[in-house]
Amino acid sequence: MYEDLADWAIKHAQKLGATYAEARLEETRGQNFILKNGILEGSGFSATAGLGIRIVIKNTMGFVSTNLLNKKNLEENLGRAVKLAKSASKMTEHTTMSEEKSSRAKYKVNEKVKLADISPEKKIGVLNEIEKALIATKVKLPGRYLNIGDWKTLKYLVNTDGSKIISNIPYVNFFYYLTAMEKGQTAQRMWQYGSTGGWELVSQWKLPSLLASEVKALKNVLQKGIAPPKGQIDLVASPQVTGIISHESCGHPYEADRIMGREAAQAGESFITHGMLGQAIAKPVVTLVDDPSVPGTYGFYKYDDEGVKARRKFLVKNGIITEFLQNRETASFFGTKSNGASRASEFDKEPIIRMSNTFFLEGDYSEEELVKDVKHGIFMKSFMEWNIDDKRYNNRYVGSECYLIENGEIKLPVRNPIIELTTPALYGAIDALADNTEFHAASCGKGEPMQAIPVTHGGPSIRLRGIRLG
Amino acid sequence: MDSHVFEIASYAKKKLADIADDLVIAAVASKASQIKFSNNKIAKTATESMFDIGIFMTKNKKILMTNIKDALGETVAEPSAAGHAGTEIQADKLSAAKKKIDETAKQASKFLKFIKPKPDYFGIADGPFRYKKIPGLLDKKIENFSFDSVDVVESGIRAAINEGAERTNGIFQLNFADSLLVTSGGVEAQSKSTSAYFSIRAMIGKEASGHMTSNARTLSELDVLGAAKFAGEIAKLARNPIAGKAGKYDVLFAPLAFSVIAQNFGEAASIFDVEANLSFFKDKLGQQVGPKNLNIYDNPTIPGGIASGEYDAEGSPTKINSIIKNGVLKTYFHNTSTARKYKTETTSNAGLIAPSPHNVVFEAGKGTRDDLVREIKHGIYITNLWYLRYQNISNGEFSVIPRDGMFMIENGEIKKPIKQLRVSENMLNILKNIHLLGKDIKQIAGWETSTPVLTPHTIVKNVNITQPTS
Repeated sequence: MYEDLADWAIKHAQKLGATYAEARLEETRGQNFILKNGILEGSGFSATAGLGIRIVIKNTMGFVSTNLLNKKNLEENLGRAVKLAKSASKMTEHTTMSEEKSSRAKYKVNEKVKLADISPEKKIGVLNEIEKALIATKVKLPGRYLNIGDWKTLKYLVNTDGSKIISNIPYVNFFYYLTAMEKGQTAQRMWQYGSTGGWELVSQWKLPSLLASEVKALKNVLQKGIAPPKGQIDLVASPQVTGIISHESCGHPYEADRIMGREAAQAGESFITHGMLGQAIAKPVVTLVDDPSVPGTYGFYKYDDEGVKARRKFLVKNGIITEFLQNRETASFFGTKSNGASRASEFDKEPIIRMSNTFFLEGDYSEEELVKDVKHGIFMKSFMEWNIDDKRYNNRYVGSECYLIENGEIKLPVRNPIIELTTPALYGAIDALADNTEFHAASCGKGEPMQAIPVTHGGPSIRLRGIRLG
Repeated sequence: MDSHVFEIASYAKKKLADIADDLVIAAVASKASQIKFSNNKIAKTATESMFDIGIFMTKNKKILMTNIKDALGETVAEPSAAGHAGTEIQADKLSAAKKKIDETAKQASKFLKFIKPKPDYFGIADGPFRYKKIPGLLDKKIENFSFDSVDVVESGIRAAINEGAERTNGIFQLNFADSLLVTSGGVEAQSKSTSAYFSIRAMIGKEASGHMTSNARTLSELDVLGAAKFAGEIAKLARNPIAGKAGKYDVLFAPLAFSVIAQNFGEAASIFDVEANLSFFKDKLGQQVGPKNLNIYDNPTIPGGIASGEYDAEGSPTKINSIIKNGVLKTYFHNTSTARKYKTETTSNAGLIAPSPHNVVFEAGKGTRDDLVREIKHGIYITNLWYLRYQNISNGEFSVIPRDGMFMIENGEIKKPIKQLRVSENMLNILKNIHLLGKDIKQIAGWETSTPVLTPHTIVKNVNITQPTS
């Protein structure tokens, strides 16, 4: 690592007139493997190192990034950045950062089985085992795209408020995209598994049996799937569906930078306003949190990229809008404190407000009990297509593996039922939550330039009462 | 480019030739600056300076991708026993780079022992080649960052406000890249290029907005005021929208909106996607997929094109390829290896792992936007789209959400603004139903359009539009 360079950079920025400076040095090493229809298309290993520096100068936020890690280049780039920020200052708001307790910490995520101890052969072996399990199902699968990767990021964060954080976090990730075919019709499924930790996680995911059961379910839907019911129905959504709902229509609209308009150009704004704090959005059974402290999750961290200690945030508590995700800039704007939600995807991106692990807190029911109390409805186990508008108001989640529920029992598979609801209608329809919490990994896109960052979303199965399918 | 780069690349080629059959070394030195603005004020300035060396190599049909970390740094990290960075030692630039290349070669050699061959790999392009100069890809003013970019932003904001915008948000971004490509196929090519991107989203109140971007390689081609005026005009027209109604409509898509859909016509033509069953163009080669007047090209030779360039990722000279000619699907995109597999010629679309389009270009029609509006009796005008997701990419089922101004068209006139609708369609239906293209070709690339598209306003007939259920 090049810590001395980071330390020098913030001192030099102060000399140039910065009232605040932070330097984030990142070194990442990783490996990646792609198996397409049983053929190893590509393998790779990479190593990167770089420095991202943020400054506030003349009330203007400036950012510098480089992977040319020498003092001469850094001096030149800081000079360029200061010049640009100063010339922009005639058009800036008064950028301030909330006062926060400075932190000094060093932490790492342990690997029970170290990534560095696993040979490329073993990693490819995981993909081959999955391929074998898929072929053994005898389901016709014209498309089988499997990708496994791991990386480890060593990060050194230092700022002029006295924070100094060193973290070392390993990640493992698996992504798949499968096509099943039956009598000329196709159905597809893609999903992702990701965690922080060592290679031991990969075997815990039980990928060969999991993917084999997925493709059997696709075949079943293709063979026996019926059209979705019309009229009013109840719907039980599994943790995968619950998770995407929590991410898209609770996590995103509660990001304070959207609410203040900073991301309006691309990522968008929010239907939630600051004045809605304290208002009801759901029944009292619904509580939603964003919590980076859950061990092993893809969105795990102890300190954010502004050096603020991470903590659980209650976005919705007992149905009431309670808290937004804040960084030091938005906290200063809204007259509150940061709750440690600031992250950058890599050294060359500015830290902005990001979700970590966003999920519904579970209820007291079992999933079976939720289903049992449905006369006529749908059980949505997984989904494929989804989207939401840029104010996070108009949701759509299209089911992949889904079943009809008749008199409390799961019956025939149903083809692609569609949840297409506004956010208030969707949250207002939730009447019960199960006790089967799951966390699912994703890459969340936000910011301009775009940053894709590891997060999880999840929760238990939930039940929606009296909705109409799209 | 740093004078050492040629020597470093040539050393890497010599060193890696001992362990590789085919070798592609790509070195890129780049600089960038950004000004991000929101609520009419500058929110952030940024500068970037990077140098990367990427390596593609094969041995006995085994494929490996890697890179050289900190290739121009003056320190060398001696690896620790665990394979991660250990002690750093000082060295001059060239000997530091050589040590890093030696280390990469050692790791690559070990890595190659573990991985399996790709039986259908058939090599890289045999050069050297002569390249035809493409004009308009370099602007000295951008290369030297020698003008006031704050003034550009200010003029854009002012122009949108003059049209009636209350708030403006966006980004002004400049890039310069100096690239060197060296291959074992005898290629040694260097190119310098610049690009400029201006994006502005004008807003009035909470619900009315308009968005437009301008992409160019030179500042003289960048249409900041045109983009700002269009965004402001649309925002003004979009005030007080009412909820739209689901149904089948003839839709006029503005270029920004249509690019989000149209980039898929290029991406689906990649042979990699076709093989993985991730393309709705699978089994469609030579078939009529659009109306007879529809012509779409991949044109990497277009002057000023965002993805224009003299050669592809393996140094093969670029050329114009018809994707769709008179409505018939003409081409899948190939690199040298996939072309040899299918006993055809490369289309010069490497991607060494996955071939991909450069610039997707529509042949212009005749009318202005207003001429096209006059063609529609009962329809919708959609000015922007986002969040396109597939239910099934192999059969083309997807949905995407309109954002910014959306309007009813009645009897050839743009009427009331509407909101909360979704395009829920199939890519093959959209292609089939392309009815009329305007003459106002715009070059679009950005957040939602990763493959550059040059498209005019376009009418698509009979588009399925959905809305949230109650």
